[in-house]
Amino acid sequence: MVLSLLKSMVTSSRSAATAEAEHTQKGQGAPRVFDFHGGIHPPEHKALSNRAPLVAAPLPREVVLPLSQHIGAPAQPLVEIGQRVKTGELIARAQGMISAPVHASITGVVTAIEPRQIPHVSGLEDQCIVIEREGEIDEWARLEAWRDWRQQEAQDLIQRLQDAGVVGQGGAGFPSAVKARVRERHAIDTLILNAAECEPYITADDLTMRTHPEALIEGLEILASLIGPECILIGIEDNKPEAVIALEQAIRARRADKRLPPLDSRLEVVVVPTRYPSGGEKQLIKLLTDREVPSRGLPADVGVVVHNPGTVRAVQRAVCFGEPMISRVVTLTGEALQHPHNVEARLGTSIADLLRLAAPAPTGIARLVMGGPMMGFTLESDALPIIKTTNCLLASSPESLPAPAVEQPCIRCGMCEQACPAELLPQQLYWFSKAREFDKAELYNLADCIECGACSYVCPSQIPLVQYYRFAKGEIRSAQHEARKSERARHRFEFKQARMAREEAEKEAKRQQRAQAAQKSAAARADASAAADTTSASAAATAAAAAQPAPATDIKAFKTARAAANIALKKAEKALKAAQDGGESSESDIAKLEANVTAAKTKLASAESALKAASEASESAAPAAAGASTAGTATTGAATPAADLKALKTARAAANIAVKKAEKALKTAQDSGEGDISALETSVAEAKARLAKAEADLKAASEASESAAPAAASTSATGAAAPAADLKALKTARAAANIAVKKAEKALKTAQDSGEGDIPALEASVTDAKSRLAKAEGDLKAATDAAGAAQGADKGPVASAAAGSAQTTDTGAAGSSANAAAPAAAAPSADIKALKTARAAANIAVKKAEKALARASESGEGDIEDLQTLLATAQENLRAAEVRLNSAQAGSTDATPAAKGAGELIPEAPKPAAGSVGRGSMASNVTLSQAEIEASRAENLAKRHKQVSIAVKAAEAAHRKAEAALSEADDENRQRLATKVDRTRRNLEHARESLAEVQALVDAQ
Amino acid sequence: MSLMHASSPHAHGPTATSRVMAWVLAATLPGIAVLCWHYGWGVLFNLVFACLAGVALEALLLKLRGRPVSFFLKDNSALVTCVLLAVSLPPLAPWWLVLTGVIAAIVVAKQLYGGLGQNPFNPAMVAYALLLISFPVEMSRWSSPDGFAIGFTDSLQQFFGVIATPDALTGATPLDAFRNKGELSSSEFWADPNLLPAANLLAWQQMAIAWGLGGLVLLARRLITWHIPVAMLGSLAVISAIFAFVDGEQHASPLIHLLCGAAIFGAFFIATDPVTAATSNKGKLYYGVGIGVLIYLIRTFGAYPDAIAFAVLLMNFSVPFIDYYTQPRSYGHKKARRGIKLEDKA
Repeated sequence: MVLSLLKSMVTSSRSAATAEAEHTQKGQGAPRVFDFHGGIHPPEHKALSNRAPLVAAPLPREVVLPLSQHIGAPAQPLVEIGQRVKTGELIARAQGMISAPVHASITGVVTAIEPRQIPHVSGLEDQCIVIEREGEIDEWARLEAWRDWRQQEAQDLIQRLQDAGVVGQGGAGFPSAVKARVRERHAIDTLILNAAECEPYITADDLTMRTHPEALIEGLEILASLIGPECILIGIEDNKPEAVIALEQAIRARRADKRLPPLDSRLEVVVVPTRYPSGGEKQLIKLLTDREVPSRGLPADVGVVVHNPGTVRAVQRAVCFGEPMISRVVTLTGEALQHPHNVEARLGTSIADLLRLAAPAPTGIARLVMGGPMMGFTLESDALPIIKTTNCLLASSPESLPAPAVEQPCIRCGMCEQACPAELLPQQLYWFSKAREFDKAELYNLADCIECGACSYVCPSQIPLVQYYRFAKGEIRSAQHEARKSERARHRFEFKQARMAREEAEKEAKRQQRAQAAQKSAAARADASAAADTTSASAAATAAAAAQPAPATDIKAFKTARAAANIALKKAEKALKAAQDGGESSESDIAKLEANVTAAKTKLASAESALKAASEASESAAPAAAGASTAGTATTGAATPAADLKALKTARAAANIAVKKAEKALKTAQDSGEGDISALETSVAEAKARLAKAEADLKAASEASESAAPAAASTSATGAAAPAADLKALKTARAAANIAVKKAEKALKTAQDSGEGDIPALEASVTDAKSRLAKAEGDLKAATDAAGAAQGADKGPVASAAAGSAQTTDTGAAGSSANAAAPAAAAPSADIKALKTARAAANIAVKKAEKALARASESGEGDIEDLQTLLATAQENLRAAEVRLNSAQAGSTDATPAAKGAGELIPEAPKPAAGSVGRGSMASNVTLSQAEIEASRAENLAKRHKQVSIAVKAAEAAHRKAEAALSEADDENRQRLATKVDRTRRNLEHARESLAEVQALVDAQ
Repeated sequence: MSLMHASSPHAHGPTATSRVMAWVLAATLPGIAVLCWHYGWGVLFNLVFACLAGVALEALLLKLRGRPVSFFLKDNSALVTCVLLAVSLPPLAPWWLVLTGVIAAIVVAKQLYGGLGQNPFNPAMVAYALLLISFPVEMSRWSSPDGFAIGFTDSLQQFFGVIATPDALTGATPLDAFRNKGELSSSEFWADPNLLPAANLLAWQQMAIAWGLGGLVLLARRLITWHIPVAMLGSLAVISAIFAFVDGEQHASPLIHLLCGAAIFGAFFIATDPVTAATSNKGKLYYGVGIGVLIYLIRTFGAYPDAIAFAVLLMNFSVPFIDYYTQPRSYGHKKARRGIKLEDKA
């Protein structure tokens, strides 16, 4: 009770005080200034540099222009080394939505486009364009000057800001054109000029305001015309009285100028008390409007847009004079400079050159800071260029910014909390960061820390708090990155699992369909037997009933079941009647028959109800089911490893029809307002996806058949496409057979000469060898003939036939026959059956070779060495054929998903086979064909990788687009777009998966 | 040119722990002066002995713990602890009492917990509570406020136990006297000058005011915020006012509670110890109110006449809890978060 009492006392007194303060301010009519929590009052040191006037720095001899001087994508160079460029000429164009172009800041020659160290916290190198000045010329390439910018379309003005490369000069360098388009998404009522410049030492904005107040007012008017605010507030700290006076005078002059239209919005200079960090965007918004930018939000979320004076002046120059952003005001200050002042310097000017203008003290510079002492970062060298966001170069002596003291233990004094402008608990964040309890640090809103350094400044224990927070933020970022990565991997895995399950289910469904058909015919048979026998009626009815609970939705089956039940009932009734009429049967028999009749009746009723239910269900499900099942068939068709073009065409046609059906069904459903429209939409989407896939498959297959044809055909024994390689193999086979004949003849002759040995056997072997030679010649001839005739024909069966014919040849031909059989598998059909035949042929060839070798070694005749070589070759061929078969079998399951996803796996299918072909070939052509095949394989793979990459990119683009559409969608379209996003996401995952697979293949290679 | 590489901010304010501690020491001077004025040499002996022993023990412990001795001694935190303990002890406390207290404060409550910034309990109050429980007689031996009536030599001899402390010199504190008034009603108690000499009352009131002055210095230097003193004294005043209003004959008035004990001293110098107090402004309010309420309850219904040490230690226990539940609403957030629920994040 006491607590709440006290609390209410405190609260009420506070609100009363606030109300009173507001009332007073209103009464005086002065602009209201609100308060933000915390803040500090570090020594300002502004007088060092704000007494000297703003001067233009001399033109630099050389400029180094980084391509990334802004937030967003780096610019893309448009110039070449050695190219002459004029001042203001576009030398790198913006890339992507958030980006800014870069313009030449002097007239000269491009001498380098290379990575150089850039002025960045990281101290990293980045791509820069280096321009060397030519003589004393400063020749400008301006855009069109629009002194009458009020006549221009808003779109043109925004484009001008983009073309002129205007980015925020105060902080991160956010492209101003993007900020100017804020009206597309947010209603803005306040435009704020952030002229607080709260950081000590910096006076660039101060001097800009004093020197160019009219330009600032005009720039504000331009920006106001683009975003349409109710009021424009210039927030300025009370330590810049001269700037306040200059701006107020400029505003009065503008109001008095009768040639110009009156100001559209209220324009006011609001002087705020000097307190760091009042120039923080969020803090200034709070000071001027009492609004708080939501955590992780933008000022536009509370209807505010904030610009920096330098930026506003750049806007005015870009619009009114057509000058791109090629220079800016930089404060040269610090105790290590003898003549600190502000200069207007061309971007890319070296920091060393600028510091020389301010006469560095002979004692040297201890610490060189880009930016102010609170949020700036130290530079490791002065050989760096200034960029669009360089507002100050602070060259300090060891005394002015001494080295940080040794960190003492935190005494939890809470001074940091009193100073924190984000109202955080800095010391808790410190403990959490130090203990690596990042999750707790996140809960304590670490992300809202603006790294202003107020906490570190006041810390009596000299703890570098901000450094701890940066560390924690970095750790959290990388953890999040890791989490996203693993999430993606998980998603990919789950998607793959789901897809495999789906395919399995499709297979299962087909299998069940077949099983059902079989069951149906069995039921029909059962009916027939039931019709013959009265007592079997109940059995038939049971069979019919058993058929009923089957998951089948086949109405025909139900009809048959009903008919059977009907017949069974009639039979049972007839039997009962006959028994009753005859009076011969016992009462128990009659009772049994009566029971039969009742049972049959029940079964008939249940069969009828089942039929009714099924037909109702089929009516409602028909359109969707039709679409889905057709599409499913199409998919399966497309996925078969045969990849038959015709089949694929049919599949595409089927998919097309499925899409049309599904669309029609959807339309009907939409028109009638009945049915599950979203389900139908999904089915349309799915059918379309399948159509797309079928088309992709077809395209891939036709491409594949084109690209694979020569290679595959070359290995076919029948020489369907009959290139030299095959004929050569056959020729070799013939030659081998020829040699075998000659050897056999020689052996025979020797035997005859010596009169020893089994002459008849040798004669037989000669005859045998001759007949084989004849056959080999026949094969060769057939192949040569077929070469012309049978081009383009399907090679699988022919090849196996060829393998079959080759089987009959003997040792000499065995190797070649296996060779001939093996390449047959390389045909793009990848027919497993053909491969099996080939393996069998190879097997036989091995056996034959073994037999021949055994015979030869037994007889001690013939060239055993040759035969051994042949056997080895045949064995190799057999192995190759087996490998090929295995890979084809595995491929028929593996290749399917990939082929569906990227539509590009088919050209890959023959590859393992092609490899083994190389291994299996005769020594004479091993090297050549191997190299050829390897090359074509690599080429294919590279091609496919490229295609899949493109597919991934396309899918990404589609997904992004869909997401963007969804984010802007109204409620009506949300459902549809959500489905679309879902689909594009799945497609994207699928494509990525394919890419990963291809990548794995590439890596393996 | 070799340029220094450092992380922002590059500027640092003039605050330093040693300066903070030095200002706390400076702020105790008015209180110490008045204390000496009324209670003589004993106070100074306590102070000097405690500070010497404290700094020596701190140096020893730092050395044992392998820490840089002079770096940590320079932060003046041991001096502050010892001074706060010494001024809490009775002026006639013997040397061993002081030494025991300093060991408890510096060795046990501070260094064994990890040194400066790591101790969950206020070291001076840990020592005080330990002494109060272990040596109740010595701890309640307050002399009458005779100033420097007892000579330097006598005081020194008493301090080192060479001569016994005469019982006749002891005098009850106002709170103790009121506590032991027995069946008497409030008005009867105040009417009898034998029960509580006017000089006693005056001495305590003057001391309270002196401590308050020192506290104002701390506030003005922004070394402490108003939250804890105001919440603590406010809650003590409110609760004692309520009880006094309900039954004025049995309960002391808010004025007695605020001015005749160590309430002011505790509010500005003890409860505001940054290491052991709550962190956020809101948390400090709860923490201060808790101390104020506990002080009243222990004084009125407990076994001890004053209760700053127990109340502060009890609230030290609850600081982590208070901290979790009193996070401020950060900029850009609709409301403050309460507690730590990590699963919320998912």
